[in-house]
Amino acid sequence: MKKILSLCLAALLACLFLLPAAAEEVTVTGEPAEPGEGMRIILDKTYTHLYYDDAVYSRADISRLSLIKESRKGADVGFEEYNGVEGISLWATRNNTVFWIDVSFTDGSNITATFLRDSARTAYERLLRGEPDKAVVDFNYPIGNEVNIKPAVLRGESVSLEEMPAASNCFYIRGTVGDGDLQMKMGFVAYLDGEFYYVSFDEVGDDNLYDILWGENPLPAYRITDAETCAALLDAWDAYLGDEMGFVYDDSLTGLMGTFTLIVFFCAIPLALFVVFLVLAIRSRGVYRKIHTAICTCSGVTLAIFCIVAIWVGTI
Amino acid sequence: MLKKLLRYDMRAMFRYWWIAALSCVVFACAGGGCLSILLSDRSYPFFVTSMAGMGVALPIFGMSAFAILSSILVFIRFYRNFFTDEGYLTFTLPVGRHQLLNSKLISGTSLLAATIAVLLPSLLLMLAIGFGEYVFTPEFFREIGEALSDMWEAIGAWSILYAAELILLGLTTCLFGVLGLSVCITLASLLVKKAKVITAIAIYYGASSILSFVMQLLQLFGLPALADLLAGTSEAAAPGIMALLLLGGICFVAIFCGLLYLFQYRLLDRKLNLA
Repeated sequence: MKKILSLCLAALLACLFLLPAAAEEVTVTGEPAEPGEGMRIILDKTYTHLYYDDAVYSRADISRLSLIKESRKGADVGFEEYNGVEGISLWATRNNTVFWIDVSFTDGSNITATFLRDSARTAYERLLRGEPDKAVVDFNYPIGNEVNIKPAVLRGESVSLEEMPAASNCFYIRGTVGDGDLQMKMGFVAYLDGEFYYVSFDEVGDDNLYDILWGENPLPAYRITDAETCAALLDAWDAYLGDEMGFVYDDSLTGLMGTFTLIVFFCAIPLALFVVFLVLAIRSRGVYRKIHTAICTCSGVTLAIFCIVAIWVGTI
Repeated sequence: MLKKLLRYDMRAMFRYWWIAALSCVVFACAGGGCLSILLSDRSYPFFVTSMAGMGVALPIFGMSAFAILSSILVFIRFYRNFFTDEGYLTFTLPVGRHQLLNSKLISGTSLLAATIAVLLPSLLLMLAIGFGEYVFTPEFFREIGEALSDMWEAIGAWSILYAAELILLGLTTCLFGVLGLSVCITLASLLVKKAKVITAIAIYYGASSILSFVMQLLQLFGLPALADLLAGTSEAAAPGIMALLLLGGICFVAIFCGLLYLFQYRLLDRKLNLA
């Protein structure tokens, strides 16, 4: 036990002496991203370039991309003595195309920077121009219910949507390039009256789904006409509903149930009570008569209001 | 005679109620203070912040306890006055049973309405103290004023009618709640000789479950259908239809109040041998 403790202490001391020796650059040694793969990242002092595994990364604004960050553990450890650096947090995309670095300094300030691999810059620009290699429609439910589409088939027939689709019928579509590490929300696919429509964020000039749906119509869109794509989307839509009986999402049935409920509660029950208590009110005496009359009156008024509203709405 | 009965019932119910109401307001103020400490930019000692963190839960418990206590007060007054030894005295009074019942219902409804009237300002008070610095700014009040003036411009005097109808609907709902409680106690007294309170609570729980199921049904199917109905109307007709629908809602709740009253009165008058 003592030997192990002595070894640990020696290793710790060695680290303390060795780390300042390499203080020319801020060097992050994190845990392997993949089993068997080592990870050593060098960040230049001006925070404009990052070096990892023979690849050069330059600082880039990737705010338009929608990327999944994966934490690289171990990056926060052991930076207390480095040029006022208190700690570094490090994230990257799955295949390390993009790095996020958050450097916090001992004076309380911090720098958050994003770096894009130089070799991926062409693909990145292509993605920004709206020319992805692949488009993926994510139906949110169940997990992994996605449809891969060739970007070319998205722009089918150009239309203007007068009627806005419901938000629950709209699904984000993301474009990806290369190995899928760079992704960007390029618009959404809307299901409306049995057809699928593609709405491009670039063409609408907004990337907020709700702003678009609650904004002014008509909405410029493309009707997806490719039969194979439509079939795939329809399968995913059915899986999204997860309701083979078509009970909850069947508007006609829901509407029918709604009307039925209203008729039962505000027409049938009051009518029955009105008739029963009218008879009882005529036949009874004293306090009972008053109570029966009150119930009869309330039922009658409810029934009358239901009829007035039904006729009023029906004639408008 | 109803006035005298009401005076006694009110006095009995409000005797402890005001203490709970005052405690609720104090808890709300304390909770607001704790909230303001938590939201403050100033650095407080750890002990103070942790106490403030716990203190935020205080008004939540206080308000919940106050609401439950109000229902218990109605319950106890009704049970003691009708179904314990005191009941033999009550039913020998020279008043009709409907007056006894009316007195209980009016005082119970007033108590529940007063509880709501204390709870809402307490909640506002807590938020005002807690978030006052951030939310209740002159800008906020200006926007509220603008929203109200916009509403007045849009629907005008209808808003007064809506407010009156909503208050009436609230009162009718309170009456329904009090009637529900009293019917449960009466039914329990009719069904069992011992453990009447437990039986009454069980009946109340069962009835509440059924009622909540019916409400869910109405919410699931009725409300969307009503919304569709309103969406299809013209702008000019919508306020009138809305007012009518609210009135319909009041009458609908009133029907069930009437039915419960009839049931309750019948039980007191014919089934229970209390006098």
